[in-house]
Order: sequence, then structure tokens, then C-alpha cells
Amino acid sequence: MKARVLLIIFIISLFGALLILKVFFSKITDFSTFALGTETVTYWAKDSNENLIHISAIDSVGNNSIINSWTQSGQKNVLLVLGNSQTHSINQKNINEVTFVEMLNKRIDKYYVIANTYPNASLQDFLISYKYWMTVLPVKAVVIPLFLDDMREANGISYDFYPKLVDKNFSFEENDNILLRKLNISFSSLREKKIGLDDSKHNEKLSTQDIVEKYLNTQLDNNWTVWNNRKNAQGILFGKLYELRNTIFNIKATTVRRMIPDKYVDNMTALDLIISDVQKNGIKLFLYVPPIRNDAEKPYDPKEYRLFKSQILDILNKYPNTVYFKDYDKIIPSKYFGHKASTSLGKQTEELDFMHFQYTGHRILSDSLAVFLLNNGIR
Amino acid sequence: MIFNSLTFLIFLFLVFIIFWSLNHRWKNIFLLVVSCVFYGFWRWEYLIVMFVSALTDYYTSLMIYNTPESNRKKRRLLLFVTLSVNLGMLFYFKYLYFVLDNSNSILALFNIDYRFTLYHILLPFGISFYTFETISYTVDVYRGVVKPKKNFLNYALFITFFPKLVAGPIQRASELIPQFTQNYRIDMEGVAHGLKRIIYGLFLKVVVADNLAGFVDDAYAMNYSMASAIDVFTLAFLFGFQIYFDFSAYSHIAIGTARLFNIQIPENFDFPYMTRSLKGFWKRWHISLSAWIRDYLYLPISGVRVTSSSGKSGIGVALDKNRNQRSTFALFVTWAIMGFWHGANWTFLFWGLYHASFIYIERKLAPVRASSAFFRMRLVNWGITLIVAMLSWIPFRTKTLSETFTLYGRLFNYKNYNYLSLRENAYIVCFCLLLFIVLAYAFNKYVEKNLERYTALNYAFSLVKYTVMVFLIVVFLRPITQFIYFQF
Repeated sequence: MKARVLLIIFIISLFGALLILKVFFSKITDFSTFALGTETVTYWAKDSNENLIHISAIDSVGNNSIINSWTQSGQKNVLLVLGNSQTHSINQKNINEVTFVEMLNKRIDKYYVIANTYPNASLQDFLISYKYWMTVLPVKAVVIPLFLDDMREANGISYDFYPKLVDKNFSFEENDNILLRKLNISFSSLREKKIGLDDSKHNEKLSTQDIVEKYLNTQLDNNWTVWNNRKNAQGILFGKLYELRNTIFNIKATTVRRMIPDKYVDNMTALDLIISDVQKNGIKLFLYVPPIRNDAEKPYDPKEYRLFKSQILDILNKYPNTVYFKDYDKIIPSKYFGHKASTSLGKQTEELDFMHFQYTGHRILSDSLAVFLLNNGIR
Repeated sequence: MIFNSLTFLIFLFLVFIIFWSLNHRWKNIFLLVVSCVFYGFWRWEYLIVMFVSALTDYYTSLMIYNTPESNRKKRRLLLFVTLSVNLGMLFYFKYLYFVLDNSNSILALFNIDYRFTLYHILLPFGISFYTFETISYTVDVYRGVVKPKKNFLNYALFITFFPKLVAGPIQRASELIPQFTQNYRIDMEGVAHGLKRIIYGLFLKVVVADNLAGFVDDAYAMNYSMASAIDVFTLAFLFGFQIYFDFSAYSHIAIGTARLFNIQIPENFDFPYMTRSLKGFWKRWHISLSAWIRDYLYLPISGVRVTSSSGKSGIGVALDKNRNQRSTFALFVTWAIMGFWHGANWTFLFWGLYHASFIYIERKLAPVRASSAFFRMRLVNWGITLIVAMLSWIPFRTKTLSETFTLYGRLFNYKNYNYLSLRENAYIVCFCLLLFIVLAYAFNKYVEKNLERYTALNYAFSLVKYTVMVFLIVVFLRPITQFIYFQF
């Protein structure tokens, strides 16, 4: 091909690429709720003063909101609720409908209920959250749902969930556990990535390139909408790849996903670490197997689900007076669960949503948890 | 400065415009200045280290050249001085921590109370590459293969020329310096080819390698003692793909950038994963390093006199020609050094010895392979080579030898072949990338040339191809990761 023709092609390609970015990727999409589907929305609980008590990412804003809310409410002891998107979502939400976290906050007098939840959170995420909130608030009770979905495969930590912890050099002081060492390494590697281009693990001085690059990107983000569309395009492209995978391999919400042994073991270890820590600190721990819809085959291998429950009981037997446990997997009737859009390419049909339920489901869960907590000294 | 950044693209655009607007006599001075700026954007103070190395070799090579051959003692002394300075700096920045740390372990083993103080030293980017270039220059002068350059500007540019400064390809003075003495004329063919290579490189880095990095990190975060044998292969292949796309991307951009200034840099990769022998692999993988190792380690240790200097062809040529008694010894020593060149860790030494062992086995089994119809089949040879080459990446990626052996150990138990323990995406990505490489190779070898006969179709295809590539580069361009080879 002649050089001049090739050069013209390059120039047209550049303008073509920018045009595609401008035309097809300008609609802002909230990727944090991408997997929830259209029926389910997120809801962040508030206390009776309309102060925020439920956050996802531990960043400066979220952290300060929770601490302000707690201060204004009279600095009571804290009941910390951890969880995943089930805790912060409502299916087919109507006006004034709230999550079980908000209901608990209003029902429980002597403790101030706060919540910290992430989509697909693992027990390792819960361990980090728990350890963090312990250091900033007088946490005296913790509620943790045990989702097999996330325990069997979720692993690692994400900067999006803990920006404040990464920035503040968070690490576990105990160094005698392989998992804690692994999490510490993850934190330091996130920190290195955050520092960015600088190779200096031990010298956090920014290079000229870091400064210039940051300046250029900020200027372009603020002043050129096409450049700003890039994040959107990244999310959409990955979403399409995910749908393509599901289409090719016929993966649906009902597809049984297998347990990944080492990730499961790591999450069980995280649970063990939480339990031994609450025991050491005199904190009450409330565990529950969360509600799941029961009108279809669960996307779990039945053998693995049974094993999971029996292993939880084994752990509980090790700590009889510290940990309280309930199995809520059938407490919410299936009619209160919803649907979500198909996650395969081009399909208009809806799929069953096993995880997220309607307001009534939140009310049922709140009632059950309230009794459970009350019976064990949390009023 | 790193290539996969907005800063570099703007820098390159400005340098290109100014370079071609300048009067001829200012062009090299300008290239030297911008090369220093390019390096200084990472750490200005480390320019001093580079210039200490460059100046040492500049002066000692002149002195060697001016010393009569009969005065071998003085010539050797001068060579010793330059090697000591260069290797001394490399040792200080790259290996001191490792040596002291291991010394402390030995002291502890013998219950000796003394401990060396350990402190981390920031490794200057590119030190392994420019040190090899300066050493090769002085050794070539010593051997009489090249004459030393009196013009310090051209010599300094040979060391600092920014496209290849940080991660090669490793240059030879005899191939690069003459190009700086040319009467520069803009060559549209070269500019178009250069831009094409830059687009290829950016695509491989920011779209493929950087997005692959997440899968690789996730996969290697697993508990190795629970990995299945298939997982071990998947881990090896995933990192093998990542390092290939990452490093070949750097080489594409380096070669393309140099072409914008009418400078030709030798190729560094040639579809290494499509080769049918390990010897072939080393003719196609990091060719400039293999060639360096061939000329300055393998052949001298084998007792072969080197009479020319070229960064081309890799080490495979020497493996063919040189079969004297010392060649086996040379093979293992060379690869041990090659391993340590990549990093101060026993895992890298193991990686080097792994390659030496398999090349040795390949040599010894050559007659068997030649006599067996099965082993003459291309697909069989390709499959075996690919698996052996990919498995060699395990010690490259793991942090300790114990992790390496744990993973290799999983391969030797038949019970580990009947389950999977990574996320399904890891296997899917691995398969897709293997397919991508095979298809790219087939396209490059069989389709691309034929497509040129159909002009309109070729234009349309190129337009779609480059639009998609440029679009994805724009979307994913973010300097979140350095090139893997920067750490070497």
C-alpha cells in the first residue's frame, strides 16, 4: 500500500474513532448497578434525621457521612451490617420504600445501626470492612450474611471499595496468617497502582510524567466530552464481552456455577478470622444464610450448598457463646423476588433474579433479624 | 516517560515536527536533548548514572584503540576498568539487595549474629539495556570489530536514543551510529510504516496486555497448592501471553518511533510462539538480547572468536554452528547469566537453567526426532515447543522457587488432571489469545500479501482495521501499568 494512502487512512481512522466515541458512547451508564437489571434499584438507608447510615465505598465522603450521622444521633454503640447488593437494593421499588437496614436503624434503640455493603462482596471484603469500622466507631455487634454466591468465587480486593484505606496505607497488623499477608500484599499493590507510573515502592515521590499525565487527563476530562466518554465506552465494551461470553456458553441466572476451592477456603478463613477477632474484643456476631428464591432450581450445586451450610455449623460449634446463627434461605416467598434482563446478547427475555427482593421481602427480613437480635440482647 | 501515555504521544508529535523543521546540524543535538528529557521525565537525577556509564566507555574505548595491540596488558586493564564500572553500577542498583539478603540468610544459618543492613535502591530504568550497549561498544573496540567514535554527540545518541532507551531492542554501535551521520531526509514510506508500528504497539499494550493483566493477577492470586494441572498450564500460558504482548508492544513502538526519524532498529520479535523448536524460539524472542548473549557470552565462553557484531538473528545461529566440547558448559553458564540479567532472584536463575536444559535435551534428541515420523510433524513440534516455552514462564511470574516447584509439582500427579479451580474467564481468555496469535500469524504469512492485489478491498479492510484499533487505543489509553520489561 502506498505510504500516502496509508497516512490518509490513519487520519480518517483517528477521526472515525473519535466520532464513534462521541456518537455511540455519550449516554452515561451507572456500571455499579449494571448487574442489577432494570427492575432493581439501589437504596442507601438513612436514619430518622435523614442522615446517611449506609455506604458502599469507604472513601472520605462516605466515611465522614457515617461518622457525622453517628455523632448527631448521640454516639451510641454501633451495630454494623455488612452485605452485598441484596442489602442495598430493592426490586420494583415504590416511593418511600426502604431497605431492612433502615428499618432496623429505626427499630433498635440502644445501638446505632450502620451498613457497609459492596456488590458481590466476599468474606474477605467483610473482614476488611469490619476491621476498619472497628478502628473508627465503637462497634459492639456485627451482622453478616453468608452468601454462597460470593463465598465460592469472589476474591481479592478492589480499589473502588476502599479508596480511603488504600490511600491511608491500611494493612493488617497480624502477620501470622497467610490470608492476611495476601490481603496486605493486595493493599500495597493497589497503592502502587494508585501511585501510578512510579516504580518506587519505597519512594513515593511523583515523577514529572506523573504530574504532566495527571494534568493532561484532568484537563481533557473536564473540557472535552469525547475524552470523558472513554470510561463509559470501557464499561459498555466489557459489558458486551460479558454478554457475548454468556451467549456462547449459554450462561443464565439459573446456570449452576461451581465452587472455586481456594477462593472458598480463603473466604472461610476470613470468616474464621472475623469470629476469633469478635471473640477477642467482646463483640456480638450475628450470621445468617440470606434469603434466596425457591420456586426454581437454585444456581448452586446442591452438594456444595449442603457442604457450605454444614461447614458454617462446624465453625459455629467452635465459638458457642460469641456467634449467633440463623438460616433465612426460605423466609421470603418467591413472589417477592423479581426478574432481571437477560445477560446474553440480543435476547429480550427476562431471567429470574435469585438475589434481590421487593420491599415486602426487606420487611420480612427486618422482622426476622429484629427478633433474632432482640433475643440475643440487642435492643 | 512511558509509551502508553498521553504525555508520550504529545511529546512524540512535537519532537517529530521540530526535528524535521530543524537544520541538519541541529538534528542530532536535538535528538540527544529530547532523549534526556524523555528519560528525565521518570527521574532527572538518574541521567547522571547513564552518563557515567556512557563517558567511561567513550574514553576507555578511545584509549584501548590508541594502545598498540602489542601492549595487551594495558588494553586488558582498560577493558577491566570499563567492565568494572558498568557491571559495578549494575550490581549496586540491581543485585546488592539480593546478595546482602542472601548473605544474611547464610549468616543466620551458621548462627552468626552479624546482619548486613538492607536498604532498597530504586533501579534506574533501562540500566540493564544501556549497560549492555556500552559494554558491547567497548568490547567491540577491544576486539577490533568497530572503531571508536571521536564524535561524542553521535556516541551519546547511540546510548540515549529515546525509542530504545528503556527496554531495547539492544543496539550495536556498528548498526546505529552510522545512521546518525546520515543526511536526514523525511521518508513518507518510513513515516507511514512507523505510525503503523506505533498503532500496533499501542493496541497490543493498552488494549490487550493491560486488560489481560487483571486476569493474570487474579489467576496468580490463587492458592497454588490447590491448583489443578490444567490450571498450571493456564497460568503459564496467561503470563506467557501477557509478557509477549507487553514486550512486543514496546518493541513495535520503539521500532515505529525510530522510523519516524529515518532510523532503522532491528526487529526484536518474530512470532516466537509459532516456532517448532526452542532454538527457533530464541531466534524469534527478544532477538537483540539473544544476539548480545551470543556475541558477548556464549561464543567467547565456547572459545569461538567473534569477528562481527550484529543485533540480528538471535542465539539460534550460534547454537547451530558451535558444537565444540565447551559448548554445553557455555550453554548453561550463558543461560544462568541470562536468567540473572532479568532479575535478582533465584527464580530467574532457574528460568535460565530451565531453558538451557531443554535446549540441551533438544540437541541430544535431534537424531531421534529426525528418525521419527511423529516427531517430524509440524503440529507436534509446535505443540511441544509451545508447552515447554510457556511453562518456563512460571518461575518468571512466581515470587519464590518454592511457589515455582509447588506449581510444577501439580503437573506430576494424574489426579490433578480432572478438575479446574480458576474462574472460567481465565480459560476462555487463554484460549482466545492462543487463537488470536495463530490467526495473526496465518494472516501475516498467507493473507496480507495476497490482499494487496485487491486494492479497493485492501483499502477498505485497512480503514476498518485501523479505525477499530485506534478507537480501542483511545478508549483504553491510560498509563496504569509500566511495560513489564522496565523492571529488568
